Amino acid sequence: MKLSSVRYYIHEGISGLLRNSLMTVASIATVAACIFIVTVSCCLIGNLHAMLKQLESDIGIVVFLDDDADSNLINKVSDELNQIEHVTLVTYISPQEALDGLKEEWDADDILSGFDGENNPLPHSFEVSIDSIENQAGILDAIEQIDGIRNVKNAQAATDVLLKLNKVVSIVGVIGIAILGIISVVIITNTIKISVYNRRTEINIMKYVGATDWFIRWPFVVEGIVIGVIGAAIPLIISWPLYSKCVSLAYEHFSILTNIASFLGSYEIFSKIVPLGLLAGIALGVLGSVTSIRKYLKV
Amino acid sequence: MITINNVSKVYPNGSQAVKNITLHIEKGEFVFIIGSSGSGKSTLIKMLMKELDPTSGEIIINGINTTKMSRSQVPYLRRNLGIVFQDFRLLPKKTVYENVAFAMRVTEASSRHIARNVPTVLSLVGLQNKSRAYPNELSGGEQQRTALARAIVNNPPILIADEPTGNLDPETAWDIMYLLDEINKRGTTVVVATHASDIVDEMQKRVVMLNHGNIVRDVERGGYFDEA
Ligand SMILES: Nc1ncnc2c1ncn2[C@@H]1O[C@H](COP(=O)(O)OP(=O)(O)OP(=O)(O)O)[C@@H](O)[C@H]1O
Ligand SMILES: [Mg+2]
Repeated sequence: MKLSSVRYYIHEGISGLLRNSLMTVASIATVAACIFIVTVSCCLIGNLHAMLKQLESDIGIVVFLDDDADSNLINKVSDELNQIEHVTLVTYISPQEALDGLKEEWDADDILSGFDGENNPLPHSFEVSIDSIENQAGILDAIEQIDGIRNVKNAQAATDVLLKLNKVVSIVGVIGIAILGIISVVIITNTIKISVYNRRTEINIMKYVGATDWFIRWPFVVEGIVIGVIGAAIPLIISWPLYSKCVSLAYEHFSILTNIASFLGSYEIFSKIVPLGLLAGIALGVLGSVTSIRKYLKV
Repeated sequence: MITINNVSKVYPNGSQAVKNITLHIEKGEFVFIIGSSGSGKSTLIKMLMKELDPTSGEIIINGINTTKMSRSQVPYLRRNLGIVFQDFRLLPKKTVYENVAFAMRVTEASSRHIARNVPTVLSLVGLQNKSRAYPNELSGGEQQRTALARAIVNNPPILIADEPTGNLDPETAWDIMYLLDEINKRGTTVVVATHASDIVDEMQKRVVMLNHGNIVRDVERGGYFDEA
């Protein structure tokens, strides 16, 4: 491809956009609306996911040792727990720490005061954190294999609910975004089709003077890229500060939220959405223009 | 230059537009294709420019069998054919200059080359003063002269025209025919389908007459109504 041709494609693409300014604005608005809706959905789903993950990591596994456990056994079990795959953190809880924890939780210093020291009936235990809730079953099996363990406790009901929720959010998210994506492609293709239809004689004439298909396509591809970039940039520029604002408002008005879960930071989420959004915009624009002109190239 | 071998065309609706035609056109010839409405002239022309493919037979242009040509080769065939239509087919949003330059740009010609050739052909067709005008600011004759300039700017060996004077008054029609003759004298092979009997009579060129898709007359120097 020659440089003079590249210049020509860009010039033609841009002047095509300016000449058909109404169509251009319509196309940009469609892309912008679609990307905006997808961005909002991504923010919602991304946060839901992150919150579920947070809850998951709060659900730990507690491992109780036999009553007669000595420091040898404690060290051995600790090592073995640490070696299990997907285990992220193993914390030893002595009977005294467990008792202090209970006292605090029940707010019952006096009732429990008789159990201090020698009289403490609580066993040695470990709190085990894991990376992801899906791996819990496997880890439990591995723990059962370790000698010297009295029993293992995990919040099975909570785990099941979280696993289900996670699945639902993933499926709904993927389906929702896929549907939105398809709707966007259809709308954009139709918008660009009208713009191409208005220029079908022009395309026809180009064919008669010996233009190759790509010579005709390139200016439309340039148009598609410009429409895609502008159409993606507008909703992204709007939704970034909008998201930050929404998050801070949510914290302000529902302060309990802070204890349960926290929202993803706006940089954290938008550093992924911006490049994806721009790519999606360009892909939509280019796909829309190239598929729309195909029909008119067959002469 | 052009060889048409046993070419037939049946449209999908079953109408037989061209029936087993064989025709040779030598380099540098000027040929009128005549015949009443519906006799198959446009169908033949469209097959020459590969807008349509023959149902059977083959067409060889400039030594290349276009019947076997792949779709991606068609643009390169068309760069060897100057094509002129009855309805001019200019790009309405480009000036006369840009319309002509466009045909060169398509071939990825250099800007320098374009800047040299376009004014030359515009003055050849007498439009040197209209280069900045848009098609809707031109008379029919001027529009057709622009189309002619566009057709010859790449210096194609062959020029094909389907009723180039069909939309013009008789006097302007003569201007265009003189120009075609001029282009032919510079070495280009010219094929013109037309109804303009007076012009055909006057110019005394080779005349090929079609009737219901058959060649019924082919004379070296003929008129419109001569007996076969
Ligand atoms: N696209 C088409 N589909 C079906 N039949 C067609 C088509 N184009 C032309 N025909 C038929 O083919 C025959 C030849 O048509 P063609 O256009 O070649 O005639 P022509 O000699 O150019 O006529 P005119 O002088 O009126 O332009 C006619 O009978 C016409 O009805
Ligand atoms: Mg015709």
